[in-house]
Amino acid sequence: MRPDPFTYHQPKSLAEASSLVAELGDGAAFYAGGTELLLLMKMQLAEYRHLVNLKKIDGLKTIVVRHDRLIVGALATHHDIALSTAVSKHCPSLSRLCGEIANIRVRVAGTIGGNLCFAEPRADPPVLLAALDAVIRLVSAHASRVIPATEFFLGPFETARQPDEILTTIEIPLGTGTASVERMKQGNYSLATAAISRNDCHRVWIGYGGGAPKQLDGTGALLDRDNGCTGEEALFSAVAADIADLEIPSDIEAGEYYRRHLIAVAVKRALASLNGIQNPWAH
Amino acid sequence: MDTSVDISVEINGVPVTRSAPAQTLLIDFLRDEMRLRSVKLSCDMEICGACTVLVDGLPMSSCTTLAADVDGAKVTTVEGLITDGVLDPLQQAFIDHGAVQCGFCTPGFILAAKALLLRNPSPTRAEIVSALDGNICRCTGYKKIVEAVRHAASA
Ligand SMILES: Cc1cc2nc3c(=O)[nH]c(=O)nc-3n(C[C@H](O)[C@H](O)[C@H](O)COP(=O)(O)OP(=O)(O)OC[C@H]3O[C@@H](n4cnc5c(N)ncnc54)[C@H](O)[C@@H]3O)c2cc1C
Ligand code: FES
Ligand code: FES
Repeated sequence: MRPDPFTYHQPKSLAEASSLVAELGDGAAFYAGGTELLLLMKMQLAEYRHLVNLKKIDGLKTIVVRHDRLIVGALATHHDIALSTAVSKHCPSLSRLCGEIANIRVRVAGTIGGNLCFAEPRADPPVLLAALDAVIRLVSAHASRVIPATEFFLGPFETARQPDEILTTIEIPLGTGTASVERMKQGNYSLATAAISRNDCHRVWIGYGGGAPKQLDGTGALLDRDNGCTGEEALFSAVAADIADLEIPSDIEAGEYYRRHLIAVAVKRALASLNGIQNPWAH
Repeated sequence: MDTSVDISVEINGVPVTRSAPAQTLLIDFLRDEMRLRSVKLSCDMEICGACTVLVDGLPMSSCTTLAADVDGAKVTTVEGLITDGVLDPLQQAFIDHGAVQCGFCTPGFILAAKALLLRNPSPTRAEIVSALDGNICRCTGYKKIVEAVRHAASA
């Protein structure tokens, strides 16, 4: 499979990159690692006459702690994030996740920003970032805005990003850093992902190929009686009804019944690992 | 429409400068332009690892990388692991341990293992298995591949 011809633009600044995409319109796309975009172009599922490379813009790969936030540059690859000492110190769950998704070659080329902007419904980072209360910064030639991760994802392959907006950073409040994330993997992607922040273990976030990360509400009722994060069994039974009610697709990767089961397992494991239990099936 | 890009890259230690259409894939650049035929195309989807090359010491799928994106980098294929006619210890270990059957996956496995050993010269068995879990072999059953890498690491 080969992509059709295109012009490769290599701007040095955000303003230049954003203006290029604004001017060139539908036929142009930002290009980061290309692990999704080039694949689509090779399969003739997407056709772009212009690719605007973001990798030559300085500073977009930086990972730093500033004030009360861990700031991850959108062009940081999964591999960069997995190796970053700042991330392993302040957000070990993100460090572990980025070190284990896909395969080493995709982690070396693929960026966190590309993962979020593509909004592949089976992607794992959106679920964790929702649980971590992360915010996403979008910059165009004329404006800059931040938006909570939970509002960024609108559905499968759909986000709140405008065509000329560049995702520049992901900002994670320090302190929500301890979270657990568990994924039920099949082949290259997850069939179900669950993430829970230690700060707020009453909010269970899941992803299951259905689109944007989804919050299970059941645990809200436990807030008054149980403020700690212990009692994963009580927490699980509080969300069991939510899981039973989910509308779940049956597709070539998993039937509805099987996927629902895996969601429950991912949630149980995430609750258990919040409490330091590695294998919830051991007892 | 100007669709060509200039690419200056060091391939197996040799500096190369070329102009190529922007859509040129790294695998085509290496196989057709540079005649490096160890780089194999199989799944064409970043899954199997047959097309693995090292870019600045890190494994990448050359099937889904633009040649334009290795401008300024150092690219290594298995041809580049041979020094003065002597095989790299990893290459020798694959032969000694019978880790090769049809051989189609072998260059990719050797380069994925090389990237691991560059970063971590004495990996555990689990680290080896994890570093190779993105490469697929339809023949050997993996056991001898892992043994070969363990041997090369301890040699
Ligand atoms: C074999 C395979 C296995 C995978 N397994 C997993 C998995 O287990 N879990 C998981 O979560 N993901 C998985 N992925 C997805 C992987 O994480 C993404 O492919 C990668 O992160 C995308 O990043 P990229 O830089 O390559 O994006 P690109 O392909 O360059 O871009 C993707 C899209 O985002 C846009 N874009 C990119 N960066 C920006 C930016 N900064 N601002 C605005 N728009 C931007 C592009 O225009 C394009 O539309 C897998 C992918 C493959 C190929
Ligand atoms: S041919 Fe590139 S990963 Fe399979
Ligand atoms: S030796 Fe044949 S595919 Fe690995």
